[in-house]
Amino acid sequence: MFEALEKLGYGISLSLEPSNLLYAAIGSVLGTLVGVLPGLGPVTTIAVLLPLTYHAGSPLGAIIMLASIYYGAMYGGSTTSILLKVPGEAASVITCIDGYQMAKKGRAGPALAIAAIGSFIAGTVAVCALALVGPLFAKFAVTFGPPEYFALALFGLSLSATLSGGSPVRGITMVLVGLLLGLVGIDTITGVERYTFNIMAITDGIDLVPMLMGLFGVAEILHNLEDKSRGSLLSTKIGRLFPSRQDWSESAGPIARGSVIGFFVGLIPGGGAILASLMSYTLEKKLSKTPEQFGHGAIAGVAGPESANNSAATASFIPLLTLGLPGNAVTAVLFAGLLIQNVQPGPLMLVKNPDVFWGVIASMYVGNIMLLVLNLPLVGLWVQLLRVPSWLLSATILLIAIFGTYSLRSNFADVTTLMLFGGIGYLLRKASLDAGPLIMAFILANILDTALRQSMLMGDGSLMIVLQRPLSLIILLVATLILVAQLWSYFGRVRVRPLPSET
Amino acid sequence: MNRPLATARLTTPTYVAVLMLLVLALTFGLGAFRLGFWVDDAPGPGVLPLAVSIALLVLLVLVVREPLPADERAFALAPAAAILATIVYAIVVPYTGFVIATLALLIVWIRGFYRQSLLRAVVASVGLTASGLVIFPLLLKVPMQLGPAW
Repeated sequence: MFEALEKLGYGISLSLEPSNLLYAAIGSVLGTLVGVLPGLGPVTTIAVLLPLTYHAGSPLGAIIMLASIYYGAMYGGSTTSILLKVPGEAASVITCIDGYQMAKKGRAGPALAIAAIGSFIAGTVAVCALALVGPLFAKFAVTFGPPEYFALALFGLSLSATLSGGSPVRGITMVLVGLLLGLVGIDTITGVERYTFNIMAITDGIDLVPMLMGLFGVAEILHNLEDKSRGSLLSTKIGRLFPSRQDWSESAGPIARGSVIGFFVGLIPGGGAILASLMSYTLEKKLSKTPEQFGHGAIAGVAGPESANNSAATASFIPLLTLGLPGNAVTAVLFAGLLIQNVQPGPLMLVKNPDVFWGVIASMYVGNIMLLVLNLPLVGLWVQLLRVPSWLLSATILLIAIFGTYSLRSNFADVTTLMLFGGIGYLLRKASLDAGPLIMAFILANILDTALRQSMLMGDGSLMIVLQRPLSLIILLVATLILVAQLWSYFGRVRVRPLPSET
Repeated sequence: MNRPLATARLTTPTYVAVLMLLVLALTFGLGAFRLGFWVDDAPGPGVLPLAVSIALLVLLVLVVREPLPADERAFALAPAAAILATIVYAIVVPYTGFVIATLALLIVWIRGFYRQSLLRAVVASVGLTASGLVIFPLLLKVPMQLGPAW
């Protein structure tokens, strides 16, 4: 335990170097700047700003900037949830309930402050837990063979497909599409080109970053073109910023409980953060002496879910850093950020790049501190951004997406990929097909393919080996149970509509 | 704001998306046969694509059969035109360089899709493009082709 904390201390000392602090400040400001804009959630924000981290001086600097963008974007999302009732992401929906009611009563300041402070405390708890649990997970994961990886990849995919919200049928469909797209490029085992159609630009596979920016960034602004009637959104005043003594006493318990709930629930790939927020809100309402205030501006209804949300977001890094499996769309985008810096997340990361492993964990903490030091006092400035007209916002994002994508490899093909996936992302969104599971599957495709074929090789052409090894069998059983339960419950609710030809 | 769908048509977003994904599934599924399923005494590169393509075909049938989401809306003209504009941009930018193509795209974007005055569209486009050029080629030292290639 002390060894882990000592290494975390080392990581923090690296992160506190002046240049890295500067990257943290820039990342935090940029993340909030974009994240606070209505309709732009953390995934879009990080995707749009991702190329900028490429130009940071060192891998650690880039990762610190990335973590700060992440926390800034999350805080930006909370700001719009509280002030506008526009959640930046699904997990912030719960914050809207009481946060917006507080804002309507002129108590937006304490709501924003408690959201930031609760997030900071929860982030601190989660980072310490991550430092303790992460290496244990990594040591355990080193013993995994292809069958275990195959089962784990299937587990992650089944959860992301079913827990991402909406119809599980559509979620699984997107996972399958992501798997197919992820298989484009040179096959790592035989060296054969798959589905490249002699196009040079995709010989090494479809590049993840332009694809991400297209699916999330460009698709978002295309979708926003359908509703250009946004006028002045902000009608509430911030009021006094710092919470009163009573606010503190009402928030302390929810923050502590939210931090713990968030961490454990956040370990579940797929929908950890929203589940954590919801569980925290339900628990606080049950424990409250005045449950009738929930839904009418109870500060505990902001403190608990925001803390749980942040803690879960940090915990979701454990599967990413120790197993190399992104558990949600945000960690999938961060996965891309690490790859840009030639850092391969996974069990060997702790062995091969211990500085980066501890640097990543420490950078999350630095990002969290920066959020508190920089973003909270500047809340008045962020609020002014809500007045940016939609035409200017849209054109700015488009420009950043184009120049940012090109800047990664100075390759025009990336701009084509960006635009192509922008159009595809718009169409998928119109059809209620979530791009989150697609991205996760895209990243996991080669892991799954390699593990599948290596397992078959180990089993003399049969996949029974996956069922013969206890760990892979357990993982596979849990994945199957979750998948079947979700589909069972879904088909129980939905009456299948006859095909048009049958009518 | 575009209107909600009263009845399902072939242009319903879900059906258009299903058609696109059907082409993808068929392309990958048929392509898997060319890649091979057992190569040099080992599972070949076509195994997973074939399995996933078949599963995708089944899922697409289920997507078509399930009720359309309540909030599904018909396609609007502006995003379709915007997609066309971005694709044209991607095609011409290697020839014109970033300055001309970006200025043109932003003017079309602001004037055409957001109905701002021409003067405002031109001023904002020049300002945004200039800011982008200051940040990327100048500050971040990204080599960018600014002018025409010819």
